Amino acid sequence: MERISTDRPPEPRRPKKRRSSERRVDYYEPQAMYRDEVAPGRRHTRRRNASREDKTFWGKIRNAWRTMTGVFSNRRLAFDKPLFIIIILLLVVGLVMMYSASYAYAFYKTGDSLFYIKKQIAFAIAGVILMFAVSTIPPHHFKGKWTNGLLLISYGLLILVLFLPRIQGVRRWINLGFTTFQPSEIAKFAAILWCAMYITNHYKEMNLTSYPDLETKARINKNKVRKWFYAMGQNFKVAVLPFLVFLGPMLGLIVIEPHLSCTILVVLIIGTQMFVGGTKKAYFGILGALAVIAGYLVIYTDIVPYGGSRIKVWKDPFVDKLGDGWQNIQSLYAISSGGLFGVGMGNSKQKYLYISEPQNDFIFAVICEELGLIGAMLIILMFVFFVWRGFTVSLANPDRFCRLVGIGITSQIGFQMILNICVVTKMVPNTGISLPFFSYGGTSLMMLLTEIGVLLAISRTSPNKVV
Amino acid sequence: MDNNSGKGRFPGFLRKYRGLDHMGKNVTILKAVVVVCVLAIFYNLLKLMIWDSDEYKQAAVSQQLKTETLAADRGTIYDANGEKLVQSAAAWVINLYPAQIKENQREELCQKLAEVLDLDYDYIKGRSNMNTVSARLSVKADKEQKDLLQDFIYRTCYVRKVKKVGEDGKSYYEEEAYLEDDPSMELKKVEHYKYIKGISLDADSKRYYYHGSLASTVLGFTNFENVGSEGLESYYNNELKGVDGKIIKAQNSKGGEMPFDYETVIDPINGNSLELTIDANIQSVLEKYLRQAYVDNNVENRAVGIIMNVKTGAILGMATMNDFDPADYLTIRDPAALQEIAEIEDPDKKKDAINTARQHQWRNKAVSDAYEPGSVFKPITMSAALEEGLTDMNDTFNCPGYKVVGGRTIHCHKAGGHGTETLTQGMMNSCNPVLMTLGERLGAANFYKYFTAYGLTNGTGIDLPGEAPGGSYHKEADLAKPQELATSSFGQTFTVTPIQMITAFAAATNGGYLMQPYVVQKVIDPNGNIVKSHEPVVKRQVISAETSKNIDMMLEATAGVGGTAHNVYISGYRIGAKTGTSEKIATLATTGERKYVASMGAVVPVDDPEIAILILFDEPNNPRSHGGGTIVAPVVRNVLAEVLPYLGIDTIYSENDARLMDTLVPNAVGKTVEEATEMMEAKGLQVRVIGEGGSVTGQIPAGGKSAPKSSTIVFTTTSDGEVPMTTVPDLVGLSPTQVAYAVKNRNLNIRYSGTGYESSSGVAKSQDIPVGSRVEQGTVVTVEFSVAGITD
Repeated sequence: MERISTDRPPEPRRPKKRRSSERRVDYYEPQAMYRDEVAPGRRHTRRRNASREDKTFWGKIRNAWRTMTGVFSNRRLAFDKPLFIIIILLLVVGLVMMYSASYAYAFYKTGDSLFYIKKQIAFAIAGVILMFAVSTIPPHHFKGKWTNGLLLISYGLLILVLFLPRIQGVRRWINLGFTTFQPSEIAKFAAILWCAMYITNHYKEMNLTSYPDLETKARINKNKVRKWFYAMGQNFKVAVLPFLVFLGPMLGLIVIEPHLSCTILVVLIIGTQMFVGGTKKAYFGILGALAVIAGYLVIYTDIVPYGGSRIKVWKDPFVDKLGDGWQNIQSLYAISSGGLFGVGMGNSKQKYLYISEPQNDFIFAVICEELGLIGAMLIILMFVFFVWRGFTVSLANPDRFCRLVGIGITSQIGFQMILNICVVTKMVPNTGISLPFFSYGGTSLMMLLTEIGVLLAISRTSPNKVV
Repeated sequence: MDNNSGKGRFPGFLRKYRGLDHMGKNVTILKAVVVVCVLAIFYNLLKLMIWDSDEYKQAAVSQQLKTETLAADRGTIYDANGEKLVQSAAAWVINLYPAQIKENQREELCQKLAEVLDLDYDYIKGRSNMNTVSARLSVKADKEQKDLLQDFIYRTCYVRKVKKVGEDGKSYYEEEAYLEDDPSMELKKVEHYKYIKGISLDADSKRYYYHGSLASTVLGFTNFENVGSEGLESYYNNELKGVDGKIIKAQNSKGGEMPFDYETVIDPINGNSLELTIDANIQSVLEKYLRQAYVDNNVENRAVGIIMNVKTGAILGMATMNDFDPADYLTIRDPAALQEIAEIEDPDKKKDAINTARQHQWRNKAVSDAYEPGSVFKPITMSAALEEGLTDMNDTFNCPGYKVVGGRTIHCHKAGGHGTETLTQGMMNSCNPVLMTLGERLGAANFYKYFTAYGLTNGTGIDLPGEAPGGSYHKEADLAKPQELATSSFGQTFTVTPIQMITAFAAATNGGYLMQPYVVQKVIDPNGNIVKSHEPVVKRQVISAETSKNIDMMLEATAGVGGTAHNVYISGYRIGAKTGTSEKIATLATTGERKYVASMGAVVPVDDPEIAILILFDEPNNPRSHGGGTIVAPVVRNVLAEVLPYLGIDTIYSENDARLMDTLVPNAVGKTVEEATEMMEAKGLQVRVIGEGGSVTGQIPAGGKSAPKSSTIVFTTTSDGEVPMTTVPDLVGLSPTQVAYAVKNRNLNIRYSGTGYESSSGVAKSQDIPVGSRVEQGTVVTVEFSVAGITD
């Protein structure tokens, strides 16, 4: 074959067409700025006008897929890697420890050592998928009807559960046949969202430093004390009352389930949001004082009979060694057996029916026994790292709603961990609170991973990538 | 913190505050709260896991560990010849768990247990319905029974799991087992499945007694927990039991095992074995005759027999009747006691009575019960008087039949008195006034000195439990009263234990050495090494060898012709013996009944004593007599007759004895009369020939048979070889002279047995060929004599 040579110089290379998978899709829409907020830079983002394709159903799905697959490669799409790694680490360690803690009990109870872990792994896989899915949804989309809808749904479920038959003597669970779930899990998330939304919408009012109305009210304006009370009153109207009105009934419903630990947790979450959002610190002082008084009354007097016996057992579990004190005692035995380095993975003896249901609330005792002080501290430090990172990435997001949701979710997990470990180490009375990532509970784990998904979404949609 | 976005850059440490609004500051506070909480948790964990962990850790370990005992094998007990008397063998304790027994299996289970264990059905039924967690059966199963029960409990079953809902609403799984496969249910075949619920067989051990109840009161027994309860088992419990081993295992809160390789095994150390001085052969001879005598004499308060090696103090045999079966020690053997218990209606009293009867039969009377020794004590007083030089063998005494001491007349047992007599005769007659005189000469101090020296104020220190403590012994102060001293000198008004009595008796006869009696010769460890070996312990020399020799001679005389102990005489052996019959004064004082203790002490051979024997009957009820010489002496004689040849004690026959001894009759049939006569005379036999023939055609006793040397062999020379017949006369009740005459008259030969045939005091008690039988002339009739009318 003959080759014809030409003098024509080669064509300049055309810029390579971007492949669709490399397309940058920006979900972040800068929000209105507040006076004290640094305007989010746009250095890392580039707006692309949404095409018509993007608005179709399959287009949305495709975009979601691209987002999910882009999380590790694309800087702007990536969610916070340290956060992601610590979550996966906690999840894996949690599953391993759950298996270790549960297999003896599972064997005695059902004859199958893998009974609990199989279920948990299934839920974990489903949960991780859900986490990824949720992480593609820009969290500010939850503002508005989503949040209100979720709040209504959780109210509905909380009321519904009161009319369902009791399970293990309480009305906490809704039985779906293949599994059970707690409406309070959803309620927690709804509360986080609602708080975040409310605070976002009323941030200015909640953080007023000067009150234009006072100009006309000289009597108050001139007196510092009166002025303080006035400010408190104004703050109460916008920063306390709405929470009481909208979320107070939810607490009431959870209390009558009864589910004390969840109530405490929801109070802590709402409180955290309010604290961060701008409710006056004095209210927290008052609330703290009230809590101390109530705690004193419950602990040192016999006003509350139910709590009273629980408190009594807490103070000295040996008064009812084989009854209510059993769990606490066995937990302490397990923890003390651990020593510095623990008895080794899988070698716990206390899980052999001494700690009843070691895969549940008291799993940390088994962890202490098997992994020792070092292991237990490492796990706590993992949680601490998670909380730290959670707060950091939340704050990095310029969207106030996202920040508040992230802080809510992070603090929920943090408080749950602290409360659980305090219960297990007998620092506070037994309330029945589980250890996130570790305790057995399928729907609860899925709910947790969903929330984590939201947290990841917050980290991803933030233009301010945290180092 | 790292929120360093924005246009400008904050320098250095301030950078972290850049861009933080109120919210950021609040979150910083929140972080501080989290840190404080976590630090509090760390502090608490440090406290729980490191600083104050010990208490909880220990508690956890103690609840997690299960200790199983590995029982040590209890040592074996051998007799003097190394023959096993007692050995531990595997056995199984049967526990029932009433709550776990299935209702449809209860009947079957109870019946099977009753059948296999040979127990009362109602008893097992009662145990299976008890309102306790577990109920133990009173019998241990041996290997065979255990195998039967295991086959009953464990079977091939078809099993399935069934989910059930408990009362608390929680569901749980339960296994259901069927003996037959049922295709409609999904059943799993399981071999060796525990089909019968609510029963467990737990490995244990029990004592196996090779000789039944032999020496039961000496050996004792072990209780259900394998702890020695009586006798040697109790005294040497620490030697025998060994040290139990342990398996320490992990357990879960339900008591089940954990799948850990956590197992510490501490091996058991097996118990040491004992080799006794008791010889099973001697013991069985002793028990055989003692048991017979116990029944014959209707002894009310048990009988005791002890045989002792006088040179070492070793106990060769020790028996108490009534005894018990150590393998079944709870069963009361004494029919009288059973009768008594059966008559009691009140259940509490009945229980008490049963307990008392059991304690009674377990009690080793030979060491635990004191009695008044009576005349058997007389050699002791005599030895003291001889030793102190207050009398000698040529001394003479006069017995008018009584002696007045301290204004009180104390009678001799012979109403008319023994008249003038030597010391030896005093002993032979068992004359109380002689002893009272000696006691008087000794005085309280000397008497007490010897009383103590013979070990009668202390326990002997024999290695058996329950030796009667001091208190029943004499106090020196009591002897200050002359009557007390007088009665004490012939063995009344104080009590000693049989073992003390025989020890003192042995000391008086063996050259004066008080030995410590003992039962265990050697303690042997499980590897066969000797841990302890008992060397004879001489406590002290009480009297000189010379005095002891004199006592021996006097005792021999007592057992000889005319002595009160003559019923013990065995030809060929030099036996020294003293009988005793003591009245139980305490019983007389309290109930007014006259009860006696009949006893006899003997020592053989008197020239160099080897063994001593003491047999006593506490409260015999023999209508014939309650005297030791009459009812105890034959028993002693029977025992010695078997024991002495067994022990290989040399026989020495007197001329008269030699004449009465059996010899083998040679066969003379076919020989000439002259030859035959010569042959018989060479053997010391006499000959009587019937018929005119030249050669012997028949002979009675026939050749090859044995006959006493005093016999006359009857030859016949007639052609048919038949010896003429004759009738056996009635010999019972006749004196030896009369018997000899009657037998001679009928052309029969006589073989003497028993005692007393050399003197006029003997009386024929029995004959082996019945009265009126037609027998050939020359046939040997064995006649048993005994000495009648002995009082001591």
